[in-house]
Amino acid sequence: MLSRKQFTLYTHKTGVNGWKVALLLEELGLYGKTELKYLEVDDNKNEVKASPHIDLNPNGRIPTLVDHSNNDFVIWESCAILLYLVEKYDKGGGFTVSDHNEKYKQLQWLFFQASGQGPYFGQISHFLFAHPVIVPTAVQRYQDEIKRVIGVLECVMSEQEWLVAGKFTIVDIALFPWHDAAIQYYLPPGTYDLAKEAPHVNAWYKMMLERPSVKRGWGQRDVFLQESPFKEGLAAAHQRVAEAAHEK
Amino acid sequence: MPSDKRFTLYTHKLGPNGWKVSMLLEELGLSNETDVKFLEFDKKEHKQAPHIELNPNGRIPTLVDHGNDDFAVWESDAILLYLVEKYDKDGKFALPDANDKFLQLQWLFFQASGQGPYFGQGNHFLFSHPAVLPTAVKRYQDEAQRVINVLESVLSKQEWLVGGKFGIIDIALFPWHDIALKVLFSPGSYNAEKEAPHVHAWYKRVSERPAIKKVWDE
Repeated sequence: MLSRKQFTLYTHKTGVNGWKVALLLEELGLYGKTELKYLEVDDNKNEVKASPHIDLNPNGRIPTLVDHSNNDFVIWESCAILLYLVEKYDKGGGFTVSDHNEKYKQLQWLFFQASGQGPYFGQISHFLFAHPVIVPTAVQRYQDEIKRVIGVLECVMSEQEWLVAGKFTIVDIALFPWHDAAIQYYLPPGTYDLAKEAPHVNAWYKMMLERPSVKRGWGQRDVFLQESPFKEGLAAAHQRVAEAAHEK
Repeated sequence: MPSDKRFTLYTHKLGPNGWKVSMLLEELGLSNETDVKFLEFDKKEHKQAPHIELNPNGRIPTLVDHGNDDFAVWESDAILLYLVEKYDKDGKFALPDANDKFLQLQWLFFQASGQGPYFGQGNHFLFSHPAVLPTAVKRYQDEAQRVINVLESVLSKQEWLVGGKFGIIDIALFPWHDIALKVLFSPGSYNAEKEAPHVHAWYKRVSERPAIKKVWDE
């Protein structure tokens, strides 16, 4: 089926990684040229693991981008998509890193996000909501790791304003969504004060929340979250873990 | 402290991510130009100076290129990309097609986000976690099988993942795959050749390469 828009983005209404790409499309002025396909996952169906998505992305995870102006080129893995979009469509060089060494620092931080932030933060979501039994020590492991990762960012941001090239880049877009999810939802309520524990990360976070692209895009995700049972279940999930930890 | 070799590689004797870089250095003929520093995790050397000053994340590997003003880069897949860009003089790993470069990035991020960390969590819950949690171990063993199945679905249709040839993605995937077969899956529970024959053939091809054999056998 021919899409009249330049891109198709297979994504999910509340899934964190899809929003990284949406935020960059917004920053590049390409959001209006993108057809968004929100795939649904519930007890009855899993569109992410079914055709047509699985035929494009054998890993069956969102997001997946199709560039119809590049012969329907398909690319998945959110950080790879960010790099693709910037390389091909960041004509003004706003997010491009031209210095050779900075290019590799950018890759380094993107791999840090992809391997050390996203998956570890994501495990909390699994152990809070989806694991067949309540395992407080597993939840604790990943909550400790959230704090460690924020600590790493604090260590660097206390010495320099930006992680790469002295400016806002796709690294900031990549790190923001999971960071927000961790601060808002994944740590037990009232147990972690970001402003006190990591003031420079907090300043960066507050600045990100004020960017128009984040307000619009991430704000849209918040609307979707309100429409889902997520927030109702959240307090109960933390409570269950705390009770199970006390029982031991 | 200045090194008279071109590179210093901070790594670990068992950590699979460090071995990725060692394998590529061997493939590029750069092993002899590398001062390898095996850090001891028991002594927390990875979280202390000098390493922590080069890499605030405190995880191996970290590469310092003394031929580039002591440029320090960490994250194993970023190091692989750096080495190929700067030091692949013969173009062994070159990808002339621009789209292939992005597919390579895609698969490297798949390895970094979907293979390594998940296989690693399996090892954590098997060997290091303070409590025995069979459901957690199972979660990661199941995910390892799913990841191998993803590779099987692609390798059953094409010989190599990217560019029609051996590349850094194969080096990146190899160490954790080997660990899954030898350590993560309970003995006798996973028949690699039967479950994912094309992946198994790929694994054998990669492990027979002289550079890989030399480094992995160490």
